[in-house]
Amino acid sequence: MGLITSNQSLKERIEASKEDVFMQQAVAKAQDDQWQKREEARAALGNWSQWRELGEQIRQHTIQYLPDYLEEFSDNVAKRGGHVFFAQTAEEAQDYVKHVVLAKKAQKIVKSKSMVTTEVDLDPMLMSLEGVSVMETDLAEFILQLDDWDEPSHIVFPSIHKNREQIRRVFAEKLGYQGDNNPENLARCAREVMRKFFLEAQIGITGCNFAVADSGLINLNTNEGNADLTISIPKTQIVLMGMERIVPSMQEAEVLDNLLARSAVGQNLTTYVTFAGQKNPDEADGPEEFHVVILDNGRSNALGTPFQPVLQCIRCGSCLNVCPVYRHIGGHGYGSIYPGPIGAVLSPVLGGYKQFGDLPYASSLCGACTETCPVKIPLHELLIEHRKVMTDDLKMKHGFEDLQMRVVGKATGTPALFKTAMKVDHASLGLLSKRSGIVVENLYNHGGYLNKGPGLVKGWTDVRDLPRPPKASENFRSWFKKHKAGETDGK
Amino acid sequence: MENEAIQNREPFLQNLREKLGIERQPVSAHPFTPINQLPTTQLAEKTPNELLAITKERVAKIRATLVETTKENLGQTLKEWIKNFGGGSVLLPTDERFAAYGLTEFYEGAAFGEAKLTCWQPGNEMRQENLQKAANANIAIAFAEYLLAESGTVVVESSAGQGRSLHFLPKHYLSIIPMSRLVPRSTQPAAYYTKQVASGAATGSAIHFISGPSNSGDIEMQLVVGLHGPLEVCYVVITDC
Repeated sequence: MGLITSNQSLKERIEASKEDVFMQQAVAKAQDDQWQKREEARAALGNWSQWRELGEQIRQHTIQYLPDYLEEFSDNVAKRGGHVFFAQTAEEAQDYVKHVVLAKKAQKIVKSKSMVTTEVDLDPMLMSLEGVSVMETDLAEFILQLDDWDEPSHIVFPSIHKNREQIRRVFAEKLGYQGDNNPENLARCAREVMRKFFLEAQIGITGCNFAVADSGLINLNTNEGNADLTISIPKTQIVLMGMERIVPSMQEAEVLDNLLARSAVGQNLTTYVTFAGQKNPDEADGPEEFHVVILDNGRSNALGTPFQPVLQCIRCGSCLNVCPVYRHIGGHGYGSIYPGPIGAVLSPVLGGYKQFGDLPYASSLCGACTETCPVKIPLHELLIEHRKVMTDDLKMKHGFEDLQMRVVGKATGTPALFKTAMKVDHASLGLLSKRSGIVVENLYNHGGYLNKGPGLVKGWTDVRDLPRPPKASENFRSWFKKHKAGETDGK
Repeated sequence: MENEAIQNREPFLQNLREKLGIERQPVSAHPFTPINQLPTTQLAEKTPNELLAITKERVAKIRATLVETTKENLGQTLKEWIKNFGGGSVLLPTDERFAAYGLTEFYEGAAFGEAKLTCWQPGNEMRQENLQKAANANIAIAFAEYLLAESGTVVVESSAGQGRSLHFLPKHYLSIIPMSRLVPRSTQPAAYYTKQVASGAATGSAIHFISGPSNSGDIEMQLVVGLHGPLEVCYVVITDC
């Protein structure tokens, strides 16, 4: 799957999302529930805006000195006996993991939820190795794996688009489950199946919420406890981390863990917050071999550019949970494993404008994402910045679209042209306009309307009617001229 | 240090330096100074009893149980909760604190009614045996390093006699916390461990912050208590220590 989750165009994906009524209802419910939980948790903490400032400061500081902290972290992992591999690309990361799996002759691998492993397409590579079986152990990811590796649709709730009956059917078909669709019974079944596999696994693969530079430990947050089993039972652990996911010490990690839990799920802390590395020689469990893969894969494209703040992200998903566009098109609408506002900013940085150039336009620019971000990433401003880069710097807008924008620019920037346009718009759209009888809905546009507009207007008329402009003598400018303060009788 | 343990580092970091327009420096050249002191001032003015009240409220919300006992009654309280949790195999760490707190009846091979005690054995060679014990155990008991009021969290640290899996594989979990280890929030243990690291002191390779039983909201966002980790958790607070 990798970063790209669909070969369809944005329009095709949106059409597919429109058909998926359950997904829309599930996303709306999730957004509403999470709104309540998140805001309550933030209010209970108090001084939320100052906490955000602290979160932003920690992330900005670390990104500003990223190479120094990565050097310190990798030195400390090595001091504990671990290994660190710096991977420029997804392929390099994959190859390193493959090398470890083959060297250990591993047959069973457990994974705890990690977006980066999906980004580098790790699972298909592991599954292609002879005699190797892999199990995703986060419940949602486990469900997606059982359902023939369906795509995740949310950063925090990857299987949000599936209902309990769909899940029961998958469990019945793939696991021989005979119970009902009660989530508790489904979860117990998953526990039993996964527990057996855990105890036999030779390698555990995890992501990394934060890497702690001064100790060489990694920090993981979960509610299910699967990450803790993944770092405890197998003799070998492989950690995949985006290069930006680093903090100076546990003190800063602790602040971010608090912001993360309150923002992602409305908890004070997630049930399990763990700091761990290679086991000490006298300890009986934990990894005897510890590998960390630090991944660039396009992230450095953001450094030194206006997009640098996107690397502040702590993957809480709260920008998805407030986004009106995400609410309607769901995670799959974005065609990237990073959906929602953060995905619309990050995906073009990682995967380029050719693949993801549409995403910065999939936004109403309402700014709710910026408002909710716990580390103050100016998300909607970065969406505008992407548009600017594509249009002004890279000149990516060609042909008719570019011509239309130029005409609009010229007309609105030249008073004489603008005034002329205002005089002829009513008459010139007469042929395209339709009329219908006066009812409440069209009380103010009974002069006619367009439902199949040309060019730029088409995007509007695809989803709603466009009122025919009023006659020049009745438009706002004429009205205003007649009714200027002091020159009117109040009518 | 460019060696086998660290691969591809220099070209990777040089690329980042060039893009950021910075020179290589030790991290001590740019220490992080927080913009505000919120983490340390949060709940700082609360008395131990006020913190305990906050903890109880939070513990109820995370679907755990908190019981208060005294040092003298600790053994009896633990026995009651072993019974409440259905007895069976009970896993203990090898931890001197059991003796120090007068839990002389809690040792490898001891039995209370239908409950049978077994201990996590120190040493790398005991790995498989310990994991099997933990997987078969109905209950685990361990001392916590801290209890955090704000989040209802216990903090545990791995050691030779106390493995990581001990806290996660058994179905039920009893955590013992002396009242003196009750602190406002996660800030205090984070500061302690950061100091330990800075001074080069030995710490366990894993530090777990555990807030109640494992849970998941992955199926239609409905909360399910008990997934990979323990299904039920009880904190036993020793109020006179």
